[in-house]
Amino acid sequence: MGYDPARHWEAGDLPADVFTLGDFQSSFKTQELNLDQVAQLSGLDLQQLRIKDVPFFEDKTFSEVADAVPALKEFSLEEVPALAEVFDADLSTTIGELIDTDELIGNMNFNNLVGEFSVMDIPNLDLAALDSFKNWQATAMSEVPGLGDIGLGKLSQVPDIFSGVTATHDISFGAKENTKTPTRHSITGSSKDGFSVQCVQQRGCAHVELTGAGNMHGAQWIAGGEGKGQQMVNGGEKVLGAVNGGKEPTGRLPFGEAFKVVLDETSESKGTAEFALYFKYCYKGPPVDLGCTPYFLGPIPMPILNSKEKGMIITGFLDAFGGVTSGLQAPKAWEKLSPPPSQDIKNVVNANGGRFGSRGNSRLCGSGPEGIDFKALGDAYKTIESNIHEYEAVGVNIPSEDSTFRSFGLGRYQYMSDREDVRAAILREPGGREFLARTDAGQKPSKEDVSTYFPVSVQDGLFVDDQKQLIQWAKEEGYTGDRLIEVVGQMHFGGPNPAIRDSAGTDANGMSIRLYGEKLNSAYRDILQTNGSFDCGKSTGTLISPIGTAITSRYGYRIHPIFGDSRFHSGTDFGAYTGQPILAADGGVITYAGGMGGYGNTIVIEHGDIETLYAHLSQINVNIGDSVAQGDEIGLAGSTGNSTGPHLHFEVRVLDSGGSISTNPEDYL
Amino acid sequence: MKQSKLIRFIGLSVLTAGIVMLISAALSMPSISTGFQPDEIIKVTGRKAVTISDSSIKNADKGFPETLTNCLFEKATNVQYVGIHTTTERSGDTDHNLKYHLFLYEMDGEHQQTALLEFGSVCGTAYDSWLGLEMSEMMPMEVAQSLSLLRYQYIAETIGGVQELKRMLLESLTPALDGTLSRFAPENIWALGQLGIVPPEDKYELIEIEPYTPGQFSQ
Repeated sequence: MGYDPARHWEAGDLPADVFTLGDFQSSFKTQELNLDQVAQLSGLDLQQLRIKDVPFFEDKTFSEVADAVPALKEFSLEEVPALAEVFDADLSTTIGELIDTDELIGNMNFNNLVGEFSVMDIPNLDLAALDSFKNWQATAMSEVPGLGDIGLGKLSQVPDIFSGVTATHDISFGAKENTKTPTRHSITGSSKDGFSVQCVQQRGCAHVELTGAGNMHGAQWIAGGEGKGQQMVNGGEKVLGAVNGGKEPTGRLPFGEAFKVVLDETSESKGTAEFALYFKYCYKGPPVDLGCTPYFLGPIPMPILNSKEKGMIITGFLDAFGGVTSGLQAPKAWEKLSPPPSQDIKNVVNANGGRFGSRGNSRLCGSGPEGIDFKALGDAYKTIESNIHEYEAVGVNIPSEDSTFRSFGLGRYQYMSDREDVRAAILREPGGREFLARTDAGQKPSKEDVSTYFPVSVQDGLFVDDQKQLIQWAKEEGYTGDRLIEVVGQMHFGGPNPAIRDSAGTDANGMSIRLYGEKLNSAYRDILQTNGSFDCGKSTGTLISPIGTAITSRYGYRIHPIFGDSRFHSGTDFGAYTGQPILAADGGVITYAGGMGGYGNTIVIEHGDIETLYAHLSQINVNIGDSVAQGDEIGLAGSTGNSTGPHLHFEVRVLDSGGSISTNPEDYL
Repeated sequence: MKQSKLIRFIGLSVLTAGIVMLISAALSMPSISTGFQPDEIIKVTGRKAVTISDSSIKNADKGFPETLTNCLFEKATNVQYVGIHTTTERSGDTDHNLKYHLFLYEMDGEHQQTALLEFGSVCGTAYDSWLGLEMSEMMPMEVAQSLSLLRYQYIAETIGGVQELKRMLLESLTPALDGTLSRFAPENIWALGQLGIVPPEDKYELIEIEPYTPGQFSQ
């Protein structure tokens, strides 16, 4: 219950069904395409395409379309016979005037009005960029006919998108081909071995030869893995680096360090190359930094990256870091494909002083009645609602209790949008009323919507208040210990009515109220046993990396690449994708949370003698005065303020009576 | 300031060997006559910029002498060749024709620049920003000014002209996140002035340099 079907990946799913336009907004800019461009790239015949065959238009109102389509409002009915056929009005009336005559006209469903007509029957409909329509971010690529058929390679025809980060697939070589022509210009490898590791297999390596500008010409991408013709390289770091024998498939990191792109298969006869993703698992405290495993969790086939000869391959910059600095944003959906850490990894973490479990949030600090630890309780719910691990999650869509409107499961705890406390919280947010009106009408919220109108701090605050109430009710019914947790879970799942206590009836997913309570208690006890209690607000005296990614810019003076002057960089920059969780480097108290000039959205945590600062965030999850524990997720990375792209600017400041002085964070990490 | 001195100390120790090698090589080589005239003591020759995408530049068509690749950091990436400045230095009775080649590059994610000296088949590092000094602290001021001018001309060409450079630079002169002002070396201010770009004095800090004296690194 509660998962978002559009984002759930099953073997055999087409990428176009899983990925939304929003996933690609920062990397491929698919949202800037219009139907005309999509048709040109995919071979789609727009003349034959009826409006009702475009799912993207399904939930659009007439008014939304008129706003989005260039100059449509200026056309008269006479010039748009499709609309003239629908509306009984003076033919000289413009579309804009028509909409202005009655609000009901603008609110009419566009698809119902003209669904039988061709896309080309509405002037300029084919020229409207997809992002000129509301809510475009949540549109699955498959909702735009033709878009899912375009290999990302074809998108290179859209100017200025792929400059420097791609190469042309020249020739595919199978495993044996290499025996005669050893690789000399490999661009694959690992962060540990570098990204020019040549083939060392006696029988040769399968690979793809590339062509392109500069050193891309003649570059070779070698297949990675342990199979025939595939190559392994050294990877990983620190304690976890020893997992899988310290080995990972050779490949590149064009989308950053979250996953590695590996050439999985080549076919000489077909001239094709198939790519897959491999993930790593990192444990960067608290309380210890155990490093990362090699990228060995995979392969996860990624057909959208596959290519044919003369097509495009996404390589990332030839930057000596495997393309990490390319700035291509990985679709978040890809990161969800990471296989769960194996028992081996859990054993290594637990054996080396780590606490295996999810990171909590500062708003969950502390315990409620009966000493129940809210963080552990929140994590326990997560183990049941297995697909809900993001605060932006959108879940099931069901009729409200009185069946007068639709209700969606929202956020980490999947509270339904028809709950009074949820509605009250959303109404307090600017624009919340309009958001609720849309969801009530059945319009599915986007992740951005949930993040905006039902932010993390509100979710956690509501969770704490709600669970306190449930615990109190369970206590009043006389429950204690394990049974109390079970009953709290039952009430969370099925409501507080004692009449349905321990009900064994199951829902569509096979979950009963009784089972839910038992699962919650079991998970809660396991988490407490594994993690111990969470310490909030206490400094450990050592800092952990707030993000765990590579440093992209160091502290100190540096020469500006254009202006030649020296500019002071008061912190350390870490590579990040927008929305990447930012962790408290140590326990402490939030002394600043909000906009701070060029820093953008910023959090400052005081840890006693020093304070840490986290800048350019896309989201802040904490409030001034909150206590946080080391490793708490305090916000999400972004590019607010004076920033040219998503990253984390991290500062360490030494506090004294005169204020604070920035110092080199790397001295503390 | 404390940090700057520390870097300088490290830089000198690293540089000394290279410079000594360069000077001794220069003095043992026969004089190279390129036909320059006394009134061409400073000769600036801009070249078409060549951009190389990584450090494997030995096989690239780069437009500068092969020998210089020996003096580029192996870890340098995105190496860009800006141009050459030719001058002479007299040692005893011999005039030595010195060619300073300016490169821009990146290392460990940071932008850097280096001036390499070419002398026959020998190269040496005259200046590298990685060491934390300004150009005019490591070569005669007029050479530093000339190279700085070359650099700004090169940058201007790549971003759309001097006016565009002026617009961008003046717009960018805002204090750092922590309020610190941008710092310019004197040769940079001079070169910008040659291009008609005069940054407002309250928008930057002029770096105080310790002027270069010939032979300072070999003592």
